[in-house]
Amino acid sequence: MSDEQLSHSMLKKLAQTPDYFAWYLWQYQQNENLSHSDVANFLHASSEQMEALSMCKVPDSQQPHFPKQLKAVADFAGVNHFPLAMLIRKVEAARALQRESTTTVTSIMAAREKDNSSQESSKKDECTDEQ
Amino acid sequence: MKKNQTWTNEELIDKLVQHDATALRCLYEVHAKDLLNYFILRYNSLSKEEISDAITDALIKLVDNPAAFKPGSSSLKTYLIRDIKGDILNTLAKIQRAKKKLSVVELSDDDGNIKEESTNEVKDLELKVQNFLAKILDNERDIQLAWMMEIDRERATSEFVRVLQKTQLPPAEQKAEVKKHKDRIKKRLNRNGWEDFLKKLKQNV
Repeated sequence: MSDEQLSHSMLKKLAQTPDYFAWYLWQYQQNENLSHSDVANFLHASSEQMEALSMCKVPDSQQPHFPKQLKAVADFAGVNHFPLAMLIRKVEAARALQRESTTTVTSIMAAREKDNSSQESSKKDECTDEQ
Repeated sequence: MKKNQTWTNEELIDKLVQHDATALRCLYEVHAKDLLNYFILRYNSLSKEEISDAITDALIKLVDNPAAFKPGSSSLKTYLIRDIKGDILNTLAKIQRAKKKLSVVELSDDDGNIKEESTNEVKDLELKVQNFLAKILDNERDIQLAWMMEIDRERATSEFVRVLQKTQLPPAEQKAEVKKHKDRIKKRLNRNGWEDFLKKLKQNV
């Protein structure tokens, strides 16, 4: 049984670290507007199992061994690996969408700036021609 | 995971070296509570939270860089105790530096205990600094970064990386990100009279 303060300190730190399940569980909770116990119910996990899972690293979903590695972590923590796989996919999809929308906004702003500066330089040319 | 499951030193080292996804949890299960008890007994001027943070940092650091531990030289527990002790001594030194910077003069009584009124004085000064930073910086994260830079005099890039949530970047990019944010915050502090604010604070103490 872990000391509460110690556990709190560890989970708080890991919730800021994208390598760990603590981060993924927190992101899922935020994205889906759920409470911590809602997420635990989704994974059919007790609080002790959630704590154990939170301290495990998330396997790389792009690697071929991902299903085997995920099952190993799920078995270690004592949780069901099917909803866990779904949770990982949802969080990664949301993260990819966020990156894409940031890139789109940056591209639009860059295009606008380029547009404005070319309009300004053509106005300057007109003034010079008139003179 | 079975209840009360434990792992030998060799099994833990193997998990670390293999970058096993469960390494941190296993290390935590085997060593964390003993480490907490060890340090609480020996460093009672620090809070349980500060000691827990130091233990957490050491465990995560070891999992991130298992090559730092040489199996022949000591046991995992001894290595962790040494690492955490170093961290705790740095924290105690930072606290002393922060108190000097905020010009708190007399802190302890004859028995070496922090006087209650001095503790309140430090808290009052810390609140003034927090309020100043909150006025000139946009968010909690920047306030935390400014505190680390100017009050804690934090040198470790890894600490800033953690606050910025950039651990997934390669080391060179992490360094660049940290520099970018530190430069930005430093400019903001200079533009808003940070040095003058500190001078006034010292004069009023």
